[in-house]
Amino acid sequence: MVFKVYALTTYTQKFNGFLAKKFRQQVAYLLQKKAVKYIVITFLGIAMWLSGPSLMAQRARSGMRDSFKGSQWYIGLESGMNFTKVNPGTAFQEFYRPSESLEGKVYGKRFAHSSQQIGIKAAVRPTKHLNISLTTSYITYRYSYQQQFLWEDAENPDQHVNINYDHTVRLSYLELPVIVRYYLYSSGRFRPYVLGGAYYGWLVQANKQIVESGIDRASGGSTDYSNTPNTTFVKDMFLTSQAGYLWGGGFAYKPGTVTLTVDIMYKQGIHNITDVKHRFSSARSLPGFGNVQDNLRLSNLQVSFSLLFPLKFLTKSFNPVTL
Amino acid sequence: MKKISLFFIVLLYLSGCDIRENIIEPSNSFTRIIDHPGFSGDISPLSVVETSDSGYLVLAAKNSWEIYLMKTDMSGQPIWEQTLPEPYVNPLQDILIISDRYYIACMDAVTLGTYLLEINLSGGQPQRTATFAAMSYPLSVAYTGTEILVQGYDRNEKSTTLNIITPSFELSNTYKYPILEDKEEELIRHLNRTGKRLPFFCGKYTSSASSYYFNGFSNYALSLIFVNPSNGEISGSVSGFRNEEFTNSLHPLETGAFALSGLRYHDSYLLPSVEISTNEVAYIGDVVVNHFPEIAAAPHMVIREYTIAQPLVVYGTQAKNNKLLLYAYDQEQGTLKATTHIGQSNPYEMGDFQFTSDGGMILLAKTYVADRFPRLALFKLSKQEVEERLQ
Repeated sequence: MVFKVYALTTYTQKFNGFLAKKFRQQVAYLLQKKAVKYIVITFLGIAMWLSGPSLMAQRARSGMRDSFKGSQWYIGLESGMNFTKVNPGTAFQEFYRPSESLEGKVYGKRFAHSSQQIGIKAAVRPTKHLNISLTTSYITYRYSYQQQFLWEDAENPDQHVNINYDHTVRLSYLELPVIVRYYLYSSGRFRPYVLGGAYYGWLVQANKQIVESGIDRASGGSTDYSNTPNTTFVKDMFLTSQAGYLWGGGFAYKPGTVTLTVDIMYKQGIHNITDVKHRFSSARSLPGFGNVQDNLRLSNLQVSFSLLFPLKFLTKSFNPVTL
Repeated sequence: MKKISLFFIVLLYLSGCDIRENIIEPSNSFTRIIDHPGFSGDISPLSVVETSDSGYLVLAAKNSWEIYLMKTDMSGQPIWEQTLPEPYVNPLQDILIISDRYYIACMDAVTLGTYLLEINLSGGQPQRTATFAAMSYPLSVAYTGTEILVQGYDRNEKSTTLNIITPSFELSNTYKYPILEDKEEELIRHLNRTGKRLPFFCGKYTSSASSYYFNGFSNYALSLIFVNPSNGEISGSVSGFRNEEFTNSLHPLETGAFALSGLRYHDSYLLPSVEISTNEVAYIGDVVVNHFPEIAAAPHMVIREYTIAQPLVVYGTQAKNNKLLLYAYDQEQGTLKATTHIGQSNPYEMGDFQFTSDGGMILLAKTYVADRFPRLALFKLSKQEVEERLQ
């Protein structure tokens, strides 16, 4: 049988040529821009990752043709939803009441806040049972907490002021999860698997919405009030990096050439994401109170849908390598 | 594949530096709002100093003129707080550090005499170090390194007094400067904070010749008066206009010049390096100044020195929009190097600030929680933050 390698080799050769002539000249300039830096680095990483099949294709042509059939590479899109839980560690706040302990922050319900993620996934299936993927995803984590204050007239307890500060934080990361999947059934259209891996993210954007509401029973009556939400950027409050591990399961469905996958995974951050150097300084210019961040680790329940295209084909009619 | 793996390992290692370095001493930077759950009580911050145990000692006036003291640890957590009972009232602006001991000056609520109290850092009732019954209406105090100066008001002779106290807490001299109209009612409103707060201060200026100075009533106006230390005679002055136009704060510089702030009715101005002859009479209305419309009307103004690459004069006050304002000027040239503010939507009024032994800054301010209840606020800025803000 004659193996013809079309799409992949052509693509990688063109890409490498382009990289050599023009792209490298732009890298230094792009690296100066912080947000662009991460994208460029990630893109380069994926390009290098994708260069693997090119090498394998060359090997196939030079005699190692059986190994070409022994694996498959995929690239595709991934999107989905995630639900965040906060794991607070040591608590910090700007308020201090010498005479009594002050109630701290009350974090929102576990996995109550949904957000989205979207990304580009590259995967290799080196054996029938294994799948290793690297995804470049833009993911937003959302969590909330509330801090409540009560001031009461000691001589007339009916007179009191109760104020709630509701904080909702959105953290957007450019994240690189590396996931290993083990297929429980390696053949057929429907293939369930278990998965595990690790992820690393760069903080791209962080903002916080603060809503002040309360009950004023000290101004000649009883008034409930709620102020207009106030949103501010709070990137200084958080570390640029976030790393963690993940585990879960899912299944792949292969109706034809493309593969559809559904991942359900639990992600666990392994470190405090609050930037302790700016814990207080970055909170000083924010409205309301309760802005000083506790030590936090994030957990995340994530559901992702992927559409993957194979990259290794056997014939001009694009019959993919099938394991 | 090895190169690819190496690429990712190096990338993750470099990017993960902030995770590994995400540790800092809590004393480096903090914000503390000293709150209580009640409605009652007004509080006015006066002075904060760093103590020998790296904590902070805070002095404030509570309910107009009661004396409030608080000791915190190095992270700003209060260790103890107390309100002194009568007869001790009317704490003067500054905490004095004399031979590593901490003192405040205050007034007797009934006799109007002056006390010097030593503060025990471990808490408990302050020790009465000295009583000066004849030294009525104390208005300001300063420690010059060799003596304690107390500015007062003699209600019988209607005069400003400048009292010189030895380091062994004995009164060595009292000099009197006549006031040509009765100022007692104004002074009482100043003391119990029901009227205009006036910037009384005193100190010693040492250059080619030394001179005491005080900012107080003289003749008809609130004026900056320079006094010959050998005989107490007025050698020079910068006269104000009644109590509407006057020197608001003053700080002698190493260069021999002064850093000064003034108030012209409600408008403030800053003179970070100005030559003042201590042997001449000048009128503050003759000074040509730039106005600072962002500064609050009749604010409390604090002047300190700090060095970041070059000596700076740092002014601390409050803005019209209720932020704390800091201005840093080059000490020699008098040129503005930086301005910065602290606070956003929560209101703050300046009490005091000091540079700390770790190169940072501690600020004492007044804020209002729930838009209405006055509380003390302590800000500790790390050295890095100070340099970023003032450079």
